[in-house]
Amino acid sequence: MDKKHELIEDEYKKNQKKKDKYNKKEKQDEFDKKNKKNNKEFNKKIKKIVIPPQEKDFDKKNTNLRIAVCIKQVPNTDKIKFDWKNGRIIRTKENNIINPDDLHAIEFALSIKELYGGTITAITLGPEDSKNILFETFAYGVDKAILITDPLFAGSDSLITSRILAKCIEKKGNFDIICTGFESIDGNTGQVSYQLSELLNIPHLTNLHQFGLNGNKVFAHRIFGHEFQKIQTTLPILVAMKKNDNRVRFPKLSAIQTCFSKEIEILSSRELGLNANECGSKGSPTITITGEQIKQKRKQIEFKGDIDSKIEELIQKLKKYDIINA
Amino acid sequence: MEKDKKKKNDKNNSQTEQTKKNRDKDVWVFVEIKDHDRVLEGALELLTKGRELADKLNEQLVAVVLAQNCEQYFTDIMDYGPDIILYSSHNQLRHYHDQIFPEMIYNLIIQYKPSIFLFSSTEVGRDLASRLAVKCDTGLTAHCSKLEIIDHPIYGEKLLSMKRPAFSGNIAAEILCPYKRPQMATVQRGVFNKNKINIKKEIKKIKVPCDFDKKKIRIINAEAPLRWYRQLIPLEEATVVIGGGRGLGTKDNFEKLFELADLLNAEVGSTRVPVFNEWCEEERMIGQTGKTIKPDLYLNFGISGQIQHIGSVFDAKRIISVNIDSDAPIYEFSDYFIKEDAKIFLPRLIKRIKEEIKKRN
Repeated sequence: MDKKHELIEDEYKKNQKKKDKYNKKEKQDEFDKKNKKNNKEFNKKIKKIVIPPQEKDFDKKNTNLRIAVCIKQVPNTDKIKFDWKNGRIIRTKENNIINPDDLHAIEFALSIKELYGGTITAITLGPEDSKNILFETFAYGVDKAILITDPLFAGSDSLITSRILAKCIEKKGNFDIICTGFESIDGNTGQVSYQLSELLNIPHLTNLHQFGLNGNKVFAHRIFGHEFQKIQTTLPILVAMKKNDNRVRFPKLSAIQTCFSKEIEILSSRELGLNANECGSKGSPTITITGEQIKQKRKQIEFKGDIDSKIEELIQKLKKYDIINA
Repeated sequence: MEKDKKKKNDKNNSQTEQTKKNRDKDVWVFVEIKDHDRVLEGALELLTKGRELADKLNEQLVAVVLAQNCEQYFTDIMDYGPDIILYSSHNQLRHYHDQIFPEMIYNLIIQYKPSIFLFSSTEVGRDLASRLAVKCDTGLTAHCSKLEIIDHPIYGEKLLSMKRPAFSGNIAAEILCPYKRPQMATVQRGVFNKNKINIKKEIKKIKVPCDFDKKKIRIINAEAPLRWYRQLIPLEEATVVIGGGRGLGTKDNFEKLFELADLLNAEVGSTRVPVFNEWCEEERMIGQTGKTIKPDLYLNFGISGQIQHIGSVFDAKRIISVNIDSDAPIYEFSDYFIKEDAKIFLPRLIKRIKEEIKKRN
């Protein structure tokens, strides 16, 4: 392993000297060929990120970890049907799911609990319907659940959402690890995890390949920009999970049967000490105005006939556009 | 999505906010340096757009550069016409750091008070912009597809209107940040064009000191970091792009797209589903969180046409789609539509094209 690392480092230094300004394709191809073999080690997707404690150094004092997972209920964008005349989605109650990235965050929290012990609290901010996803988290193995809901919070943008979550986390106090998904499939902003880390003033980790704990210390391998880093830091931390980082487990049948009878704590703006001017659409710095329908004038011509005649027509078009030489 | 709401302004609040609105000036662009090597392409595109916005507002365009040795990038940046370059060269700025960069730029914002701040939508840009939005207590719009200066009857004059395709159907939502400053937006590479400016003029260069306390740094490298080689897939530069989606079913079917791409001298792109199922790399994803492309021909197989994907291929010259469902949203956005099962159509098409090429030879 060490020899390979030395080779890579040598090449890195050599290539710093070659200043190719805007990536000439030939040179990049040569480069890629040489390094494909070396990259194989790094390219293996490790499906379990969390490693068990190394017995020699393991400090048993900090096994009572408090882990928080922030999740969101979103409409299922894959199965959604559009009403093209009015430009709206047809919303039904059955179509709401947990944001996929957040499921990976729950999996991360569960693997830490298995190997190091601790309690997991799931927190969500949303309408009253969001109770359903909290029941689902109980089925996966979460210990407590908090629902933050209030009519005043409707229309909050990402900054206000992060503020409300941060207030709740501070109020409940002393969480060691906070897990979130990187981005949601309906808003696609990817801002909340960074803003939470800034508000709580704790380090933010993504693109993890390996993660381990020793008492208060965190050891991790991650990809940061164009570097593969082996880092150390201390608790508390925030981890943002993406879809390819790990594989989500299946919940146990026995847990699914009992999950609807568990208690959920409900918080509103009063308990968090927020007034109307600080949250919802009033408190949000951005205002959204529904704009025009995106209309594009495309020809919308359908090829007719059986499959072979359609292939012939397509090839005629490709010849016409000079993609296949006639 | 919210509809247009009339805010009841408290008179006291609006007065202080109005003065802030009128006092802040200038368009700023964060110019990211990629791989210690070159200026990011997306940043150069934003400089041209920033020039356009600044000319319309009659204000200045400022480029903000933080790197180990900034002077080597000046020749590239100056071609795109900023009025001022704010820069800082220091060893600590060699690589993006999520404590140093936001603090330094926040101090610059307090000192110079910009009205608009644009970032390119990369890992670094999204991290930096989100943290600055918290520090400045302002609004941030992600993945914009259009930026314009407008006058709004209720919220005021000379506001930056940020448009992005919204999830709720085929509507382009328009977002304003009327009272807080600076108005921030992130934009993907490929959305705007870059144009060099030939007019020669004096560009002011202001150097900023960097003295960040090392003790505050919370993440430490246990070993020297190694270079991570990302595969460079030049989707943005290809004239013909072939897209594959869920309709292809399996990884083996998806890999036939590469055969077709070799025959047509094209590049292969995909939607979210192939990337999640590990049929191809992340760098091939086309969409709101992937890449934006403008090819001459976009030929797609088994793609339903959700707005997050289609929004990034709007400007393609021609779109030909193969999908078994003619009610799919992609029908509206295609020039030519083939109602066939992509799994069956694709291998037959490849066979036929190979025969054509043999005939020619």
